[in-house]
Amino acid sequence: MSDQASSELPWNEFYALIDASDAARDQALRELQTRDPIRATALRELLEAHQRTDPLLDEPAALVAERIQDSPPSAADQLPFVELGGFTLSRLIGRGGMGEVFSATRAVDGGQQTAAIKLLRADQFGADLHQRFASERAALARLDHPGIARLIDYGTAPDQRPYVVLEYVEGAPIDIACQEQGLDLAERLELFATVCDAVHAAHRSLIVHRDIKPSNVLVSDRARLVDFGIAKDLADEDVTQTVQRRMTPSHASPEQLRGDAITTASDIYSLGVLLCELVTGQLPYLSATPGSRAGSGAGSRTVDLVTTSILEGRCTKPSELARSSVEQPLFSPAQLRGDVDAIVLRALALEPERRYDSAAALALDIRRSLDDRPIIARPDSFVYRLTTAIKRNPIAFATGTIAALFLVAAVVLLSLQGARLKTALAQASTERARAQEQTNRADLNNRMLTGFILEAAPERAQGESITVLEALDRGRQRLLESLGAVPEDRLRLQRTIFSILMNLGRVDEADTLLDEAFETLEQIPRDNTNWPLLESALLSGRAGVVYTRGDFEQSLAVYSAASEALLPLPAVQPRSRFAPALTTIAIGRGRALTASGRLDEAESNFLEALDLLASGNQETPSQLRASAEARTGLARVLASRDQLQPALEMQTQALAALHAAFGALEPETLNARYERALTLERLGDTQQATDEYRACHAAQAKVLGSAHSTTLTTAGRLAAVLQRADRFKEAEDLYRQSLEFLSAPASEHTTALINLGWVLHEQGRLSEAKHHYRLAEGGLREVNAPEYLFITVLNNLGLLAIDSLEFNSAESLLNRSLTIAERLYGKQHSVVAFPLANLGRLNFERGRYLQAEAQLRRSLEIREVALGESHPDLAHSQLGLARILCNPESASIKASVVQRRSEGLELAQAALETRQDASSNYKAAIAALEVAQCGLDLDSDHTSELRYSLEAIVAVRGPDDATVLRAKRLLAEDSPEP
Amino acid sequence: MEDITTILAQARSEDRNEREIASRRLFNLVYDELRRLARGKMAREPSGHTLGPTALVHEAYLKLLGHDGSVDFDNRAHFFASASEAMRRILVDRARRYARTKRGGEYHRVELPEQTADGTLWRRAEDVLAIDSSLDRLETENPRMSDVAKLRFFAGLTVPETAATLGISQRSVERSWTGARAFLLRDLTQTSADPLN
Repeated sequence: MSDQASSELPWNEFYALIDASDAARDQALRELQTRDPIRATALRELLEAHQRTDPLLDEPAALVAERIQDSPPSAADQLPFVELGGFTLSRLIGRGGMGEVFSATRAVDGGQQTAAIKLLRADQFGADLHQRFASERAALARLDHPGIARLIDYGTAPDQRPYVVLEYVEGAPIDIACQEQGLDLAERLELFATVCDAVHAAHRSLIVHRDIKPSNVLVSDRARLVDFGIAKDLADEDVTQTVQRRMTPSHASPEQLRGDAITTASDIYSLGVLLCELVTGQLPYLSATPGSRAGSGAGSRTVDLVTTSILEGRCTKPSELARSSVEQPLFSPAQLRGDVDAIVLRALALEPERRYDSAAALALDIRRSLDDRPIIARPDSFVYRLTTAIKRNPIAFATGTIAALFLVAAVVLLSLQGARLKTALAQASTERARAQEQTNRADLNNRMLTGFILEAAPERAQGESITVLEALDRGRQRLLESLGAVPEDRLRLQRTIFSILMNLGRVDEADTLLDEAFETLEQIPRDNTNWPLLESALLSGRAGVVYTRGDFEQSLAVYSAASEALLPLPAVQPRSRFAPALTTIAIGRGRALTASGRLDEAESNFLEALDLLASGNQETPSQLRASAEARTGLARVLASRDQLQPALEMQTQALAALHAAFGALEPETLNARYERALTLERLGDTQQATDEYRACHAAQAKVLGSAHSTTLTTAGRLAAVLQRADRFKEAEDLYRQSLEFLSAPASEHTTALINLGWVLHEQGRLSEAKHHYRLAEGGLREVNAPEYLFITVLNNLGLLAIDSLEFNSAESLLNRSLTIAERLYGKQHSVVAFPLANLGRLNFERGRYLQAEAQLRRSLEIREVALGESHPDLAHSQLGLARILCNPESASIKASVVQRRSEGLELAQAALETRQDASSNYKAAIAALEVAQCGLDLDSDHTSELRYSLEAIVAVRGPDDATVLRAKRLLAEDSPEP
Repeated sequence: MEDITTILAQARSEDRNEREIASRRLFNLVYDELRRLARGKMAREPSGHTLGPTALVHEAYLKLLGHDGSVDFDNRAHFFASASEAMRRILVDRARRYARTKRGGEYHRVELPEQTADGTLWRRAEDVLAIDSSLDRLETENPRMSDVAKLRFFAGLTVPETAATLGISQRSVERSWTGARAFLLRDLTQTSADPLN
């Protein structure tokens, strides 16, 4: 045997050098350094270590061990029995609320079994506890789950105290285990989910643990729940009536502290506390740091504080805890923001019925989050999804060759967006300052109100507003009740909550709250000088609700009422007093007018809003946001009118302002950047639009999460522009990823379906494409979606029908698309050109050349006027027209064949040029094919173009595609016979 | 209680299964004996002058194997190997509990001895845990060194005793101990220098 066998370390050198002189040693080290620096380093370290003395290793372990021997026996450590139930007691390992726990062993076949024996404490003896102990035995005997310490046996000790023998679980409390093992966030969440599984198993056996906390979840190879010391057997009603309040206050649920009925929901709450500790190292109650954890005798003040927080539902979300942490937080606020926050707050809801239905549901949400799938703790309502989608989602438009976008125009939006929320919060903050001055009046209420809201309020509106709402939901009713005495405060709170609900798209709830707010208003004396402002604000809110529900005319009427409500204000009032109200009204009206297609009036309203804002002499955050909102609205009007350049300028301004004030990662900044990219895309600047979308997408994924609807929308646009640059696979993958996050029938889901359909369509995968279009159309019908959303899907289906030679069906589909487009946007709008040009192509295929030519010429005109001379969309019309002009059969219609062919060739060449600029080989190839076709008829040589064309088209559509065959035929004709 | 001689005999059985079972029993036996001895000492001498593991192991040895020097060499080796593992487990468990009480605050309702106040014991407990895991690494690197280190450190055996237990020369023991010691110290330095390690 050799010491050096199979060693990685330089043992030979080590042994050779330990007694060598310093010089010899240095020499040897230097030599080795040049040959093998890694071994040289190891050798140096070993030699250095050898020369050190260490108290631990050098005083033999004896001394160390002596110090670390078992602690001196205290009275408590005395074993009450040598043996119980065949087990030999070895030592006291813990003392809980209702008993002592000893480790014990017994010999079993082939080894020794270690167990934990829990013995009811002599000084805690009582009929009630006795009975509970008995119920625990019954409960545990039914439980057999790998995540729960098993019940081995039970009995009565010689002194008549009952005992249970439990599986002995080695391991560290879960929070310590997580630290010791250095688990990252995902690993902690996964481990926590297994705890939920175990709790769920217990719940299914009608057992509530009631004392879930880190020290009762021990981790070795897996997590195990121990100490069902106060587990309550749900089936045993007698026990329910008499339970004492025995739990750990810091981890108890509100109902537990109040002594109310305890259900499985109490364990869900405790799981929420546990999760919060695992991800932040802190209890979810502000100022209750781990160092001052409740539970020990000295911390009674902390207990009070925590207890109050629990009872009032004042939990702090994990990201906030991490942010305000004095020490280096376990995980950054950004990591916790979003899913983790939402899950914790959901579990910690004040009302049991608002928590997760079961521990299994909690586990499921954790795992969803780990898989980056949407979680149920953030239930984007359909209205919310729809409205955000409508706002942000120009649907890709299929045309013969181009997916274009647009629709930004008509689209409107709900928009008590971030800005509104911020405004509300800023307001709450101002009010707080005021409240402090008026300490005599409802001081407590004000503190509760403002403190609560500010605490719950997110720094960022979009990503976290749902979390805010979770917080609000928890405390809302309680707060509203407690504020009942002072109508002004109550109203202020109602308005704030209303704003948040609207921001989240929970319109029905918001509307109900508004009704209550109007009632509150009636309790305020009419001679209160604020009365008109308050009434106006509520009416504006109502108008927003009506608008969001899609009744734009009614919304305008309510806005008018809101502005009339301001009339009683004395004219001498400073303008600044009601300027904010007027601004809100103007922006709201602008949106409603845009949505109704009354663009001129919309424009003047947005301009009025900007005017009002300009008159304010200070740039507060809320003014800044309102200003960005107005400019964005104005840009939409301009873009809707196809005034893309001015729209772009407006958006650039709004973006710059937001960027300067709130930074690049603020969701609203990103939104402005996205809107600007939309305009860039419509302007045909595909490259820059692609870059912008990509940057936006990356930032949003970071700030909001990959599964957030806003991020997905950007992903959709990114995919569309990639597709336009022939990057079909990338685009297809992005769409498919998005679809995984989305669920039917939300309109984003529909959009992704249409877009995916279009990618497939363009690659010639017609039946797959049709399948997706049909799914999308079905989805739109199901939700009774606004009409303009149908324009795209009908157009695309029509085009598909042409490609499938189903001409009758194509005609009907395209006509429906055209009719809606013309009615909603007017006959000269660029969107009309899509179905129109496609109808032209259909008629060409059917041999109706006259009609076809007229339609294509009109579509070309519309596009030239709307989009300028060099927009890639023009090619769609140009090529269609070129085909007609160069077609010998259509030539008989007009006099000069040659002249027509020359025009056709010119058009095709123009299209080719545009498309080459737009960096799509494939689309350029299609154009080149037309050029060749026209040129062939003119007896000019276009062989090289044809070859290039053929190659590019085969790359996308494969060798058997109809277009490819056509190109091959042309090439054969073009090549002169040898 | 089972006769230790029988167990020791079984520990040399041809049957691998029987051998393993015997080893486990031996371990449990030694472990319990060591614990009981340690507890008994402390109960008698609350001043803290308890015996170290060397004495404990020897006392356990005498108690389990008898005073007559008739125990053969192999039994002796088995016993000490087992004892060093048992001592390791006792120390590590103990250290882990200290470490936990220290970090876990009131989560653990274990009474703390007063020594924790000065922090030394706490640091020691951490060191014992570090050495424990370092020994696992040494086992992969060089099993011989690891065996020697366990007997020396945990069972507190002298060089001759270690040599006799392992059936190797004293020089080999010294050599291995030198290497093991360097390895452990180097490992400890690196571990404490780089918390991510």
